[in-house]
Amino acid sequence: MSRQPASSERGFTILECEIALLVLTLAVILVMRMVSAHDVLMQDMDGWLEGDEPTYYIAPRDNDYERWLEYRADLSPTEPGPGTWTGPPDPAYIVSILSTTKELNPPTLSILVQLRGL
Amino acid sequence: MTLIELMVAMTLSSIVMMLALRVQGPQQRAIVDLRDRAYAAGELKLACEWLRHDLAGGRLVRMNGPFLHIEREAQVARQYGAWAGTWDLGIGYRLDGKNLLRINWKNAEAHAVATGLTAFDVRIEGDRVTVQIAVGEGFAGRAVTLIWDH
Repeated sequence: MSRQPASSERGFTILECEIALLVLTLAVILVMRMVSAHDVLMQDMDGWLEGDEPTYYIAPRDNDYERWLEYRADLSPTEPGPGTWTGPPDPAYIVSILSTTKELNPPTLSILVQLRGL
Repeated sequence: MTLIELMVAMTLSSIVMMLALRVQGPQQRAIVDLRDRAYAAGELKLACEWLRHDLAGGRLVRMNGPFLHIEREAQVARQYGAWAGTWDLGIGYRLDGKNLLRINWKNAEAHAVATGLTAFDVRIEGDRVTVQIAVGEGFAGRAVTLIWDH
């Protein structure tokens, strides 16, 4: 007559062992994927940081009028060549700025000018 | 459960936990660095845009004590009432601690246009002005070089 083991002495069933093993394996795989993703992230950042000190050339407008009206200077990663502006139109005009109005919404800049022929 | 089973389970759990913690630390640092770099990029852009604006109408750039001094075209200076007859009162830039100060010499009004700067180096060679600006340090830092050729 065989003795039935008490509940405290009973081992794990195959099903419990398999579930525990499955959960543990999934956890390890998840952590390994995180380690791998982190390595990729760090490599990407290393690549991103390489040579990350750009040089820009500030090139003011070669057109006098545009410069006087404070047109934004161009930012160029390469050295700008000589300007192509050939001077004021012929016949020339005297341009007097009478007033400027700047508005934020919508962003507009209105300039009232007076043109006088030379 | 026997003692040996318990020890094996604890060891395995500890290994998993250690791996997880090992990943978490560098990832958090990387995220913080990314945040700092984004901040640095924003401040660099602000500094560059202010210089770009003032140099767009610039006529002469020189050092005036600790200031990068920008004199503008007469027509531009007149718009701001800063034309003093034969010269522009001008705009000055200098590094004050970690702030880039822009001073309008017309009324000596100064305000910080960018913060967190670690370098604002100006080199003037003839008509060429080279400005090196850096924000942040190390992995989280960014830098840019601006060249203005009159």
